Amino acid sequence: MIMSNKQDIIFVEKIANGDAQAENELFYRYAEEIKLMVRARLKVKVSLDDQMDIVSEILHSSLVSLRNKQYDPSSGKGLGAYIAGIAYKIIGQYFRRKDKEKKVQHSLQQESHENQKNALNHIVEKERDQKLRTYLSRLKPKHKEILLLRIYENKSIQEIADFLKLDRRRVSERIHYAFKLLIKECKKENYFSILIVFL
Amino acid sequence: MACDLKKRNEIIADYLTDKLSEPEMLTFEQHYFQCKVCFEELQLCERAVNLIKNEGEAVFMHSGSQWFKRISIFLKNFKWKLADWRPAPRYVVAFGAVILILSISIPIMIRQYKSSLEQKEILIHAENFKPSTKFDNLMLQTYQSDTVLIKVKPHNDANFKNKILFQWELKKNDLPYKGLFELKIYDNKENTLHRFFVRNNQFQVNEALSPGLYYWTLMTEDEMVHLGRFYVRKP
Repeated sequence: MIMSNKQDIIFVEKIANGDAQAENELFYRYAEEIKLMVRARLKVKVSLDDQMDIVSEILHSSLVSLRNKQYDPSSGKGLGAYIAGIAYKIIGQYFRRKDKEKKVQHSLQQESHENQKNALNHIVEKERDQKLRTYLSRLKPKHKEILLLRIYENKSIQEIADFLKLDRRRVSERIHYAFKLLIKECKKENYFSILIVFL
Repeated sequence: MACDLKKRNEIIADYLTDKLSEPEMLTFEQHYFQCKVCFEELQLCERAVNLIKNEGEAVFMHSGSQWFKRISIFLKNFKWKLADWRPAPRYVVAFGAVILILSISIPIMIRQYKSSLEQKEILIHAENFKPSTKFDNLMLQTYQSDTVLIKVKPHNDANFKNKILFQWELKKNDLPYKGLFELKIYDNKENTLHRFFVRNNQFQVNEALSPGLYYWTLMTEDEMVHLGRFYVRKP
């Protein structure tokens, strides 16, 4: 579902007027999206602390920008897209800073699920993973193989094409289809509605 | 509002596997920040990607036993490691040299082993391999025959193990012989072992003969047209 522009205008006006509840809602509404974007963008090894710093920086910058009425709803761009733009800038700044520092850091993604302090959250996360493992195990061997080669082995499309003696296009199609089947399986098992119950 | 993003699955897969260009990434990010449907599916796929990254093949074996999982992973990893293995050139040369030496020496060794077996066999059945003076003298004699055979098989001193095929052809321009041929097989002590009457130009003997030297004759109604000898070795 895409948020309507009208709702966005009211929401932004509340933030601009210093409504604390609306500010909190901003965090809840976009925190997960921002976290995912940070994880997706930072493919290099980055610590969880740095990740949380970037997320906080993005949320803070978004809040300041909305308070200063820098978001213009009449531009046609949705609020989500506007926040994504801010996140993009902050992540870019982080990369530039890191290039100067050249620090060796740990993997973000590997730690993301392990460092859950909240016990209930941890149980929910484990439950989700378990369900996903079940759905992944139902994929056909050829789809499992291609996901392993691409994600676990980190092979390029060309390398996979050479390895499986397939056309590059067929390799891409098979990866897409594997994801499609996974989503289809999850929908069939009501995975998304189960998550809502958990949350 | 419903999401109208086309090829959503493909975009999500490409986004998570770094196949999107920078502008495409940003466009999709701006989209999923305001589209719950896309974001939910993206979260799901990201979770799957992380599980695969962290657990490898084990993630796909949810229903299998732990031992089966471990063995399968080990075998799979071993196979891939082997596929990625690139030996140093000196090892390749050494391996090639070993193969070359083996491919030359093994056939020689096999031949030597076979010949030693034959020698052993001759020693064991020495009596059966002793040539017959009478037959050998007859074979040396040249005599005129009305019926001349060509392409006679087996050749003299041929070796057999079990089945023996006798073949012959009549020389052209000769008057065709229309009667039966009499094929006889003798042992080296000149005893007749088998006697066959043959109408065609070939005959196969299927009876097992013990190792030794044998003589064979082919006769028409009037005369002997061929005398030959062959060996039977241990099968």
